[in-house]
Amino acid sequence: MTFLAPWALWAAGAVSAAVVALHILASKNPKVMALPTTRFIPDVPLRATARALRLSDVLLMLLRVAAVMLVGVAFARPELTGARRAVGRVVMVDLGAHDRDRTEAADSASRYDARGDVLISFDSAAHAIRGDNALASLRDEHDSTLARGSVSAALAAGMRAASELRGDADSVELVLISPLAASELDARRGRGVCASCG
Amino acid sequence: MPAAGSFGSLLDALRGVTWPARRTIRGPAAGTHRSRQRGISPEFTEYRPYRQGDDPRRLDWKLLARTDRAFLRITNDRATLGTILMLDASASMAFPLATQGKWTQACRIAIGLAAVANSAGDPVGVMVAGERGVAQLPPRTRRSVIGEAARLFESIEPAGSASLEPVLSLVRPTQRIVLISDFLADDDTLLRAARERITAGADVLAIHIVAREELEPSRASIIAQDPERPELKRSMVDETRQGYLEAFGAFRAELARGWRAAGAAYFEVPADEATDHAVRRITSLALAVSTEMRGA
Repeated sequence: MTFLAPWALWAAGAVSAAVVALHILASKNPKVMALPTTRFIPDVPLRATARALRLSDVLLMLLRVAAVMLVGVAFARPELTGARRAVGRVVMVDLGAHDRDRTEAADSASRYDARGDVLISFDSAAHAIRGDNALASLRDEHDSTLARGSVSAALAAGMRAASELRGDADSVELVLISPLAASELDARRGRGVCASCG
Repeated sequence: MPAAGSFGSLLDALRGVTWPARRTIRGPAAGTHRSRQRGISPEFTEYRPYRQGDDPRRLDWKLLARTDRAFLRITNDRATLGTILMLDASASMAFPLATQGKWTQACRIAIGLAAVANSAGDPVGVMVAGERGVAQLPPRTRRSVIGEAARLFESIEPAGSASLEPVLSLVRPTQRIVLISDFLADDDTLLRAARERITAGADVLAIHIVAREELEPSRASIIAQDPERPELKRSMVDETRQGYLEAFGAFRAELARGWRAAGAAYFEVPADEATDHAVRRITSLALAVSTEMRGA
């Protein structure tokens, strides 16, 4: 849970502390007690008050503090958020390379994809597929005009998806599923390095 | 109030304590107290020359035969002394309310003194002035009088504003009268009545029971209320505490002076003093006075 206006909580805490202090410091009329020798007490007009550093009317104090804190929480505008995951994944699937075998690509992706992760299919362009049926959509997708996969486009889309996942996970992994030839990988890795340098 | 069975340790602690009369008494029955009568007791005191009018039966005939001088043989007689214990059961004696310490101490002192007097063969009676009038046990010498007194005390709750003064007028003056009270309900009327009894020959002891809370009131601010006059309320605060202590101290000093001036013995007994200690203090002072008088 997060609060949109946490200052209201601090203010409520300060008011509650003041309420507790008043209950501790409040003076009251002293008790009436029997004393057979009362007549020896000088008969002077006095207003007797008893002061004691002790909590008085504890239940009433708790009720007041609870009321103040509830008002404070209401003004602080609480917002419920889901629990954070340790690792979030962005799974990028090269459809250009799996043109003839989507099922194999989906099976590979299913090994990494979990609830809340982002699936990106890419050929020359990248598309983020969200939702619980992302893998099924990947299997069913059929386009005969697929071009050769562009890892750069996938990485760019993956970085955008990763920045969105950062709010829900402590760390984000990028998973690339593609039958890259060694030469392609070296060339793309080289470009990637240059891009990050530049 | 004390239970009847709670006096065992007190009676054990007072075993062997004696309580002689403070003056010679006029008593017909043989007992332990010095009597004014000079008679035929074997306890020899002195010889005195025969004077006209003396009883010739008291002449020491053997001495007359040996020395040809007429002397009377003077001996001391011993008599019993009736002891009446009068207790104040007014509301002020039920203080502190939680423990009823003053009333408990008064009952325990009465039982202790009754046991000491009873062990000397003296008849002991009890009178309690309370809200419902006077409850009493007539003077008896039998041992069961201690238990009867304990049961009587157990049946009484201190309440109301009774006075000992009318009770005092009910007893014969030739006895030992012990007044156990806080002396807050009575003004000078009780002292005047006691003075008359003393003049008539009574041996009067005034035992003033004081609670520790009265002697040293708590530092907390309270509104004090007189249990016998609920309309009387005053503030016990820092500003009035010193005045209270001075006024109460002056009252106690005046009370002691008044009773002693009247010829009574006066004892102030805090409610938290060990009862056997208080009883020994009371009886030993009486013993000291008695010895002093004998020496004079």
